[in-house]
Amino acid sequence: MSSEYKLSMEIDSDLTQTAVVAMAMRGACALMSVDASEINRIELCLVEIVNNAIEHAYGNEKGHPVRVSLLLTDSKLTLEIQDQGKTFTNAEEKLNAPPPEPDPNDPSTWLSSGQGVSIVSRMMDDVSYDSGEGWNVMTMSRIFKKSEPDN
Amino acid sequence: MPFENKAEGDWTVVKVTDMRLDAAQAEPFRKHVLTEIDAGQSQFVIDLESVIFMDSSGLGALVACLKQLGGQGEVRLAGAGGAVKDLFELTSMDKLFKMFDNVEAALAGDGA
Repeated sequence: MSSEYKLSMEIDSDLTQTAVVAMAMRGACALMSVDASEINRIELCLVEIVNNAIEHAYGNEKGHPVRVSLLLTDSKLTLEIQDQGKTFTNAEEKLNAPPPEPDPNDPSTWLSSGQGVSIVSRMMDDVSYDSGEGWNVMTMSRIFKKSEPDN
Repeated sequence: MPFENKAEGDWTVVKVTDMRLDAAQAEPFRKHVLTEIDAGQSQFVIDLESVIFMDSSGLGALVACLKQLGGQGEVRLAGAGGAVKDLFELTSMDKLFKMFDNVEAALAGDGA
């Protein structure tokens, strides 16, 4: 097992392609013995941000690049998701907003969209967003726990 | 279509047969259930036993179905495990949906 893995991928801006980068990330995390429940949560964060790039930056239009790069060390995962679409406005404000709390008695609090960024900001240790040189970049990282050895 | 319907008395059981209920499947799923609601069905068990991954879009589709019922029906979830259950807890959406171990328990209303 290596002490570090680096992976760079590019997919088309098509929601059916997101699963393939998610699976590649899962494979790298498994090689590093990342705890299974951590892998699930990291997958969720990756999928949310890649889908945001496809749906919001590119308006669900196919034919544009979404780049995903991963740096995995013995204890920390860093993911970068890049797109060339519309810039995510008020990113910092949205990342720092309190999580929505649904009230079973008030249907106006039952959100059927827009929860992705809130999930990511809670799950990751650090999240930042930057735009420049034609690319929007969402960077997120998490210190993870490893799976217990079998014996 | 990766969704299969089965009538069980007054209930419609909708089984999601794909392993992922994500952004690529959320809209087809929402349309599938809304068609049933338009046809007069109001009591649903969504069988998630085969689903190993759900994102906020899949979750949003379930919420959209619940909102469409406008309090005049019910959506019970069956067989959600691991990452799917975790998503409901993370987003507090487990407050809106009754979750059951399997379809039989959901139909019986036991163990929520």
